[in-house]
Amino acid sequence: MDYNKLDDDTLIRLVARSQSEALSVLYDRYSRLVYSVAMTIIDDPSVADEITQDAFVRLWENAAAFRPELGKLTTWLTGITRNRAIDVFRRRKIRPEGHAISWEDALPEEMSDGSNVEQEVELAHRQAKVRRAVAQLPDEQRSALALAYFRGYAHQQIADTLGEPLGTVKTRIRLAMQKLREILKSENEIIAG
Amino acid sequence: MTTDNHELDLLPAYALGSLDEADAQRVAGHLAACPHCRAELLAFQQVSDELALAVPQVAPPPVLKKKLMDRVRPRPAQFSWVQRVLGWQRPRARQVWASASLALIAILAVSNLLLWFRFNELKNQTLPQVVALQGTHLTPGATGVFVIGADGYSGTLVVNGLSPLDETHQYQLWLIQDGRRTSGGVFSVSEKGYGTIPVVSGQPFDVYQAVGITIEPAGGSPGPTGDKVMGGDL
Repeated sequence: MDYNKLDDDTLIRLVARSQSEALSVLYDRYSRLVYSVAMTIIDDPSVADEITQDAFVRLWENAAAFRPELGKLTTWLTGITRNRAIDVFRRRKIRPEGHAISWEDALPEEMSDGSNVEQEVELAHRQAKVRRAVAQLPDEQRSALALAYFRGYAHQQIADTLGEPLGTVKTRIRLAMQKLREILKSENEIIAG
Repeated sequence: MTTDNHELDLLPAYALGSLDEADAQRVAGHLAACPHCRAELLAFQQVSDELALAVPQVAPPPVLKKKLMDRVRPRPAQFSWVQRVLGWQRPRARQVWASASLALIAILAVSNLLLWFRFNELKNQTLPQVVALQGTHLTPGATGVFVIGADGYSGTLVVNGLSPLDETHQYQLWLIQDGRRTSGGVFSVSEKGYGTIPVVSGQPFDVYQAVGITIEPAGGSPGPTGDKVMGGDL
């Protein structure tokens, strides 16, 4: 069986049957994304290594309980990675200015290494869509959103970090999310149409 | 800000997990009774979920895959005759024994604690406090006890009848003082809904008026954000 040709849901079912080759393919597909989320938040390669490994070990151990109808595998993987990395960030009490956080503006390259082209293209399209959307936000909204998403900061912490009034930060977060929602919705409609 | 009796302005930040504690509690309470806001929240949650795709890309070191595969590759099982008699080589049997062991450990832990309380009671005439917890409308069959040690700073939470959660969520205990929630720890439950955690407080438990348990993202939240599944007055 050529595991590379299989879609995510099929591979997850095989992982649930302890097929390590299926996990290997999912790792090839999504480890870059998972590692990137961890590195963006924690900026420490050894910790990012550990968090990435743990994310895939959790997938290995819990694949039978994964329900694709409730969400995409990328959402599950990046969700537990983000939570874990923010938790490490808080425990280490890293100073906010310790390392810069930023969004990626460049669009992903749609390159295939000969594995499942359909899955790779779908991920590349999703990445491009979100990056285009984030790139349309004003800088001040992007900064506030980055602190909320990558740091797990509450409104007041964001206001303290940016030196802005609390009300201003609340408005920026709200407007950023509302605009992203509109842009992503319209892009989805264009794709669907 | 409330808009037409909804919490629409706060939902984007709620989806990101960036609301301050008081606002998060108010929104959580509103969401429990408002299908319209729940639908709106879902839309913002989808936006939040996609944001991970906008991080700068960094390739993991090649050696990382080998480390992962070494961790997950099944090793040939070596079972003792006792394990074979117990059916240990069968995954289902292992789960049953694991659940039974967990329950036994919890029972022994509570028994030891109660024995210790009894010892202290006899020695100091100090009675332990045992607080009964009840499930909410979401978990009507769930029950629990929160046993506070004689020192007043340590205790044990034992729950039963809570549904096991997926890997991205855990239960979180909150100690409630004048409306403020302090985390008492996060925990998961066994397949049979059984769970227990030791709880240590920085101040005596008698300053708290109540405890509550909510469903939170794995690892816990700074303040309650999910549904309340159990609670009790201290």
